[in-house]
Amino acid sequence: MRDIAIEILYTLIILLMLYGFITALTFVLYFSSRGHIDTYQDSSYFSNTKPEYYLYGRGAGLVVRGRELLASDKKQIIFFGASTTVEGFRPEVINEHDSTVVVHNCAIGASNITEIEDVIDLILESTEYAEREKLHLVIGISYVLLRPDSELWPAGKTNIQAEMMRYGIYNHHNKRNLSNIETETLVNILRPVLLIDSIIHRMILDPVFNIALYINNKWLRPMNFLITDNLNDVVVTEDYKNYVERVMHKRMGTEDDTIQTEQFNKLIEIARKTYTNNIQLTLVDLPVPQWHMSRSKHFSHYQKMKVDYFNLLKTSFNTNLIDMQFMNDDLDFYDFAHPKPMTSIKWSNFIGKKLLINNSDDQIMSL
Amino acid sequence: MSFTSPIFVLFITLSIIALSTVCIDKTYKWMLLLLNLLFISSFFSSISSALPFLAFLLSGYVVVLFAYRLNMTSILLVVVVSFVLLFSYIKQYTLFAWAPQISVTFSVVGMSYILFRVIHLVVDIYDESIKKRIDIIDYINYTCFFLSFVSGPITRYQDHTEQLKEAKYKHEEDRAYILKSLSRVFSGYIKIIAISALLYFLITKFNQEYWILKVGSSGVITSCWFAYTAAIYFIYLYFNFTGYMDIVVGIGNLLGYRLPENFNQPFRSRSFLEFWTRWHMTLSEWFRIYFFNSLVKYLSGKLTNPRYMIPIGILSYFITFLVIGYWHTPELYLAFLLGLGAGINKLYQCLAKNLLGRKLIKRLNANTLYIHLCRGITLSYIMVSIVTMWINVDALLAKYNLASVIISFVSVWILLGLLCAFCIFLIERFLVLYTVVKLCVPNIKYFRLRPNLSLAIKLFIILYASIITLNPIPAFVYMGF
Repeated sequence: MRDIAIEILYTLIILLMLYGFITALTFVLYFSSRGHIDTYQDSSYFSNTKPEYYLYGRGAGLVVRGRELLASDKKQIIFFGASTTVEGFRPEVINEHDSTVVVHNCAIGASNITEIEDVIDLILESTEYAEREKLHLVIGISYVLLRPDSELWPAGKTNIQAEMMRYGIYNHHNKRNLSNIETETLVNILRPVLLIDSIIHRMILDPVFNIALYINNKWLRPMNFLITDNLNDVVVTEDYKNYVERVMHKRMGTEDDTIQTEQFNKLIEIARKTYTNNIQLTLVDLPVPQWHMSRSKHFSHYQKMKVDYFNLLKTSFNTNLIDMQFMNDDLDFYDFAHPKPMTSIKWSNFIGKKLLINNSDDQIMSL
Repeated sequence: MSFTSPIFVLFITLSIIALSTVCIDKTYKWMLLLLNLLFISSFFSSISSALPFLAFLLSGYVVVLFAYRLNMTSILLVVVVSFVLLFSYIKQYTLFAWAPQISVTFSVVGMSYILFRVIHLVVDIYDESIKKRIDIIDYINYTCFFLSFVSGPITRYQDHTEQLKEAKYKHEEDRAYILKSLSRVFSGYIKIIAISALLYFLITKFNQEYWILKVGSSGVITSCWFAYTAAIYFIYLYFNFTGYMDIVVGIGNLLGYRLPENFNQPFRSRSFLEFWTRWHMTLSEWFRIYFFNSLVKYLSGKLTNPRYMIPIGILSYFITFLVIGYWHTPELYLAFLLGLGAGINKLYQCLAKNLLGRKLIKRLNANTLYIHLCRGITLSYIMVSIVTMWINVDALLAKYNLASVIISFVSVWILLGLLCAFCIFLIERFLVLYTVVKLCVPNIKYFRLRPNLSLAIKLFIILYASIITLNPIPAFVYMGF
């Protein structure tokens, strides 16, 4: 019995030493951060210019656990949306238009307005009331963002809500267990776990996922045009265009290819929250390629529905609107919604000028 | 009480302290009884929910007492069969679908293993392998021993008492033995919390609905999904069960009690029958001694002509595995597939011996390609059989006709078998390479705490897997049998 206890004690001491060593190592390796959140995943793996990827995770995880990066006494512009926004707006490029502002991209792939609202709630929770007027929230919206909750979150929880429950930061009722400082302390304590998790994702899961994606794109779906080293060179095929119609018919949750009002109503809620918190909200009406605009019934219905909602947002909640739908050149997209890397530079410069260069007549586009 | 809960860890810690500090026989016996009852009580939410279990347990003791008193085989057989029927009624097997239901909600955990132990006691008492009287406390301590209560392993009473005696008086622990036992416990937890949790996620996330939505719903796609699920589920079951075994065997070792092993590299099995000598070995051994041997003896007594020996063997295997399958699940598909597998395997062995002769069979058994193919199709047969435990076979039969399902089943079995054979071949090459590399690395004298470092790393993996997962840790599958 005594011998068993001694061996367990030695083991625990070694574990603590090992844990402490890895924690210290993370502070040495990742001593700085970029100072902003960007959910865009690029291909550089072990670059220590992006330490927050290793410590906080990606996508939803980065947003939930990396919110300390939002702590700034500067004016902040935060982008929200789905994958089109993730890929379309580069904070570094936008920042070139005004370095006094901090630009974040908190968009999360495969999102809808419900999840955006979750993210905004987290942002508000992390920001003192007096500091909120320095926030400018920008939502990149298209019809794809309006997928109903029943289709996107069949388990009843968004990715953000699932991430919130990790590590006990929030409980199962989305009530916070820990304050901002306690969360930051917990994240620091969990550094070795987060780091190992990140390395496993990059070294094992990502390659497996990429292989599965390759097999999927090459043989199972007509996406083999995507198997290329350079997304800038992609040209969409006719088979793919037909495939998109079939898939979106299933994904949008209606038999008649119309858009439901559920997500628009959530958008109204977001506008109400930002308005009462003295936060500026801007909607960016994102483009889809011309070929998809002409074929998609969902897009047509969205165009009709949005008029009244956008008017309501503008008149009742002082929401700005930036229309980018004219930027719909087919060659700018590598599929039905996502901009090519070269396009994101174009989009980022465009939006940077609209948001940051003081020209109020150009900024607000009325319907 | 879940094996992966902090309460279980606390319970085991207290058990080790309590059992290590007593050495007087009577006190040890009562201490063990207390621990066993404490452990069992954690599976019941109220006294009323424990009543069916208590009734069954006490009935078992009554049956054991009958074994001491009765001399007539037929009467004893009636008593045992009645006990089995009571078990079937409480477990609500389809045999008793007509019977009135028990009105309280209750747990049936551990009851199967109590049944096996009681039947073993009765047979061994009757043929005087156990002569000494078993009192109620020894009976409960044997049938409800907390380490093997949930899902075995099934120990013989004689071995159990011998082990308890050794555990009571052995208080000096060898350091290497302690470290090996702790390592085994931690490995068990890694298998359950990390590996089987990941595999469970792969089954539930990429389920049939996912495949239909993302890939398609044709017959070929459904067959691919079936093959994928069969393979992943089998590997999940392996890690789930062996993880549990590692935990209980490791803890038993720390207590000074050696539980028998339940697994012996089942992936190396070259035939269906060999598989069951390597997988859940104590269960197979129990069925061999108390069911198969008895059945063969009975049939041989009825059909005395030597030409019936082979058919008797084949039939006995078929029936034995039919019962094993039915024990796993009241759905008849698994029972039929296991029975069929055993029958065909035995038939093949007999035919091969007659047609090919011993020399050729020996050469064949030494052929690497043949060995790998046998391993592959053995494993794939087990995989596609076991998955029928939980997929809706009736729905498949309703959607596709019987002939299509059979053809798909056979095709999946063979193709999956070839894939398994190839994977086994690759793994064996890797293991050979690993052994060679290990031999080349100089045997550097390591510092004294290196084994503790290895344990610390395992503990970190357990911590990591527990923290990062959002899904609940999968339950121990065999607890439900």
